[in-house]
Amino acid sequence: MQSTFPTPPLASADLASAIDLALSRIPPLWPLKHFVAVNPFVGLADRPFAAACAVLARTAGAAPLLSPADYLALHRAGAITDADLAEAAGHPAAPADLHRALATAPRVLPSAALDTVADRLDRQLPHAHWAVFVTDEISKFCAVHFDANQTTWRSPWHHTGLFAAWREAARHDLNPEAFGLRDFRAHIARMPADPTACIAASLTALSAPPVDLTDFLHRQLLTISGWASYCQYLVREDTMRGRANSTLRNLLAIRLAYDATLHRAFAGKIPFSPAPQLPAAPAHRELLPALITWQTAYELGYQRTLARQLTTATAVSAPAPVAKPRPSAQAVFCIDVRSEVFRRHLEAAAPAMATIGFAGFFGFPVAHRPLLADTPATRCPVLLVPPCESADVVDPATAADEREAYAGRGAWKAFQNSAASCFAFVETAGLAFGAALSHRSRTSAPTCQRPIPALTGEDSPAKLDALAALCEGALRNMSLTSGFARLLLICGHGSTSANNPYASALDCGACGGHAGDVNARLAANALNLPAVRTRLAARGIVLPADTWCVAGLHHTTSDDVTLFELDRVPPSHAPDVEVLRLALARAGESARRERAPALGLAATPLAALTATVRARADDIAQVRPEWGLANNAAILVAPRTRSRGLDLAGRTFLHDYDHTADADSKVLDLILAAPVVVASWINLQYYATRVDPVRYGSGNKVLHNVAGGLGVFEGNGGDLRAGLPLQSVHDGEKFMHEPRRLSVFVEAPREKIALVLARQTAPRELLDHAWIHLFALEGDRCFRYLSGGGWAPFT
Amino acid sequence: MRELLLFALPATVALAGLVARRLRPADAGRLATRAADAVLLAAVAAAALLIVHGPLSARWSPFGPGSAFALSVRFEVIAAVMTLLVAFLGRIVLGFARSYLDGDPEQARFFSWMCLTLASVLTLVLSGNLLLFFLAWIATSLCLHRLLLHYPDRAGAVFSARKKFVVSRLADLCLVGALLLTYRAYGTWEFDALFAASASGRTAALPAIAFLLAIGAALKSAQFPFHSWLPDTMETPTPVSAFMHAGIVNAGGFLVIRLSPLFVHAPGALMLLAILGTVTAAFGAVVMLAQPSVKRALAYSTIAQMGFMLLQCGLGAFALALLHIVAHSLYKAHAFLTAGSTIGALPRAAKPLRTGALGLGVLCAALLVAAGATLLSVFVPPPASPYSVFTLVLVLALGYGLARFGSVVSRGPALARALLTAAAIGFASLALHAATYALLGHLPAPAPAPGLLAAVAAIFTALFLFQALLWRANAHPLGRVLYVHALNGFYVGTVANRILNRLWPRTTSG
Repeated sequence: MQSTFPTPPLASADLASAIDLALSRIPPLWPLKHFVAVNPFVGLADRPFAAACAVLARTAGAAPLLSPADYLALHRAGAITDADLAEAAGHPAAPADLHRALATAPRVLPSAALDTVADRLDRQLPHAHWAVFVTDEISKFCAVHFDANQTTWRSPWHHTGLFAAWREAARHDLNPEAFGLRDFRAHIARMPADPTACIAASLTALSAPPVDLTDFLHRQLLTISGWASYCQYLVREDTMRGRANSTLRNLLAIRLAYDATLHRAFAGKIPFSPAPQLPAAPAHRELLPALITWQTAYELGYQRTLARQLTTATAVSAPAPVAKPRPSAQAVFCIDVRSEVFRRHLEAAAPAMATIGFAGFFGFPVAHRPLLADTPATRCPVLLVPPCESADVVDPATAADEREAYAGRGAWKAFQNSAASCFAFVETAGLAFGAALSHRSRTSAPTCQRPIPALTGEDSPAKLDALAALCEGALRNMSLTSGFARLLLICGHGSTSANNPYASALDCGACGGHAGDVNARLAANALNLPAVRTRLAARGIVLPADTWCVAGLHHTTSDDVTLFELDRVPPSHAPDVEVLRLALARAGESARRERAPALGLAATPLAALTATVRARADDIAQVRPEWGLANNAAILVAPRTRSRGLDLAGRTFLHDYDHTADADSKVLDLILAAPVVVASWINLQYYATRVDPVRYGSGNKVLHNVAGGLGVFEGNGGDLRAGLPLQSVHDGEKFMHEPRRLSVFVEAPREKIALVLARQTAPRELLDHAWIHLFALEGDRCFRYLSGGGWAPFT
Repeated sequence: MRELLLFALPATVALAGLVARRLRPADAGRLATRAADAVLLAAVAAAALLIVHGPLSARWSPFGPGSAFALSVRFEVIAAVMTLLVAFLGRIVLGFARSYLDGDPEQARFFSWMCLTLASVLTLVLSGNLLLFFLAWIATSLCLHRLLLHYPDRAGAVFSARKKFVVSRLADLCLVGALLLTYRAYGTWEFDALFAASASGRTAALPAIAFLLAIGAALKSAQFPFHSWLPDTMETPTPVSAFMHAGIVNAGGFLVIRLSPLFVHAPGALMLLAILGTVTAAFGAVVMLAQPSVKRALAYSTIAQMGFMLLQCGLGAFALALLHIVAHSLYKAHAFLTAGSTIGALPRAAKPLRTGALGLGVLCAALLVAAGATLLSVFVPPPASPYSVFTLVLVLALGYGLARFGSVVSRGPALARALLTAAAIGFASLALHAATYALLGHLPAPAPAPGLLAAVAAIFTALFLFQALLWRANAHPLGRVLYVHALNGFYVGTVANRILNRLWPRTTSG
């Protein structure tokens, strides 16, 4: 087991590649002001799911799978059948073996993580708590270094690189020595100033050789994995824009410097015998294949049900869209699983209406600058760098007023919290908080009153060309190039919750963790411009003169829909809008009814339900305003005719796609490369939070402690937490998310899909490595994609 | 008969607490909030009785009326203010927790201990003798201990509960000492009897008693250097933090205010409180500025505010200390319960203060406060000497606020609004002081030493200058060093942790 450690000086090429590999394994973590779901395994997606599980068992301590006890419980409950086990394993005798493997396993597997020096000291020295201490120290420093104006006294070194800043602070920091780490300041001062050199020096100082250098470095990063992920986010943002960023490398250097210092301080005091590096590894290694088979079997059950639903007579016998009468209105919603519920109820309320699913930024990838913000924020899928910029349009006088009022509020806050004024403030104004305490409702800013967003820049033909190009892309990619209704609703979505650090996690991922109103309004307003329509017609998309576009926002917490720019609706379309509003209201009503039981509101009388749901959204004590994307399991890429009338239980992303109108497969290219990848990110974020809430979730909301203005600690401190809160996947009695890897159902000929997969590496890699499953729908037949290519009938 | 109401106040929630743990989670929350409703109602009724009939008191002893071992309650202005405050906060926090902890498998236990904690605090504020006060004081601490261990599997929760436990037991020792000395010197623990005895000149034992009480109060109210348990108690659900910072941590201050008729005869103990309070206020305020997590910053803010409140006690401004307790409690409970709103409310990077604005701000503030004081003096006589320090604190605060506004706001109407707000706050502060003084005017106020007043004034002026120049501190090598020390709370917590690790080794490893 013992491998040879490169003798000092470390072979620099080996070290460089080990560092790069370790850094690349860390997923990014978005700050909470625009949190988006991330595939926590994105850095390991270049290898099979099983291999990634093996790596994580070594470096994180556990594979991201349910526990043996969980799988057995699912089997007892009938969610996993022996038939599924046999199919997942590929041979009929497998279930008996699989049962035996789990029956003899411990209920919950012990941690199998590689040891850091801090871990080893904690095991060997009495009263030692170095692992927790080191994580706390680094976490505290990262929080002040990356602070987004939460802290009054900012770190003096926040403008410099993380490692340089830390090194400066460490020169004065008595804390490690106060805790018993002798000569910390002197040791750090002697370390090289260059992060990579410091990593090499630290590794050289560690005489106990790690088993595998990349794994060892990965393990080091995972002891501070939340901040590592935040650093990776910074690296990613810069890299996407062609700038170099070594923040994550800096963090690795800091973590290793602690280990090296600990080693130096304690090496003489304890026997640094090579400890058993993988205490429970054999158990993990043997169990892993069995657990993965159980997981696959668990997914089969759902896939089979969904495939049957999608290939029933009603789903496939619908006439082709061209043959249908003109719908009374068309409504475009985000592919989000929450839209499925609302669309179903909207179609039931207005049978003559058609609904369409499309990524909720509606083809307008903008960096939007709200009136009061200094910098624009990305409002598009995070896979993209927004090529356009937009801003809120307000007249200069109002803008100046608003800015000054905002600055005044900032000064008021400073007055509340300063060392100079807090005593007098509290004593005088404190009493007023008694009134604030007695009501719990905090209504968030009404979205509809925000100023109108528009692309920045002078109005010019070039800008109109750009708008037309964006509109064309949106319409083509949603397979909507003809058959326009009189009214086209473009409906983004956003969530409402109060006092919720994770509010943005409930917003639209396709809008970069923001509500989708800005993008929907940009799209709808552009589509109404005559100059844009002329240009669209020249590109082959003719919007009838009597088609009017309206932007909307679906409030996912309350299932209310706000419509925008209603004052611009021509009188001819006022009755259509009125009909739409009524339908939306009725749909909202029944959608709320459908969601009520999961919110614990099954007993609430229908008359009170609307008020109750809205009140929950504004309640500062509410930790579960809505269920977000919990229980998502599949994405359906097909015309709505395939799924209209089916109850998909809010578990499927729905992307409209008509393969007959996509001769060169360009649209399918895009769908598999972007929406499907985004859906799998969301899916795996929920998956990870569910299977291992401690490692991949952000913990208990009632202990959340917002730090640095960008994330949360759970309790006093510790690492920055990544993933979703426990309350987002658990209702107190049971988990509300069934952890299943995403099943992708595409209505298109197999050859066409294969062709696209040959071109698109990202989705092919996810498929071949079993991070997602793919099915082709051809008429009433369904085929499963086999890893590495090939198809098998699936029934 | 009316006195029964006083016993009923804590008894109602205590009973609810005992029953709640046997109920289903949702029912436990409902029972707890209903009980809190009843208590709030009863507190209002008792306050009304107080206004109509004057103070209430009752005494009961199993050993006959002459025995010192008695439970006695006393309801006058101080008790009424505190009872209303605690009952209100209890109701708010319990109602909040009902939603917030929805789904928590241990809700029943949580509500049970919350009710018992609330009952203990109510008993504490109603107690009419030192014995009952002491019993309630211990009960509060032990009930809170269970709440700090709401998540007993969290190593951090266990560790911080132990840290708090050790400090509380030290405080208990001080109180036990005070109890024994009091009994030996006066043969009674009744507040009224003690006040009468000390007023009649029997004060020989007082310095030692007051000294012990002051140390006990400082330990309970998280005073430097025994504060570090407070920032470490974020391993418990937010509502517990809210109640702790609003309703429990001020028990020490309440003790001093309650026993102020004794303390006025012990200038040494008051001096100790003033010094400890000033140091803690300055320490907490500086450390607070550097804390990166919202709850930790709030905890250091509480430490600072408790310091300020004990300083008010130490200077004999007991009435102001009570005002400070009430105002801080409401403010801090709100701050904790809405701590999740931090992300949405992040301000923009602060602009540096203009030096001119600073001077002008203080000048304007001084004029406004002087005008306010003149206006007020038409209605009530100006208060006595230690108040000048607090007027200084007010002027500096308003001056800082105006300078902040002046640095970001440049247009006439906005500046006028800022000045008007400052004037309103200044006048409200003076009026509140005067009103509190009028309400609690019977509390005696000895004159503090002029040197002490000068030192306190100097420290708060220094704090003002430090905050005003903070944006320049980072440019100075000393400022940067100070930053690292402040970030780490001047290492007091780390040393305490290390000691506790040795004294009481952690058994759980994760």
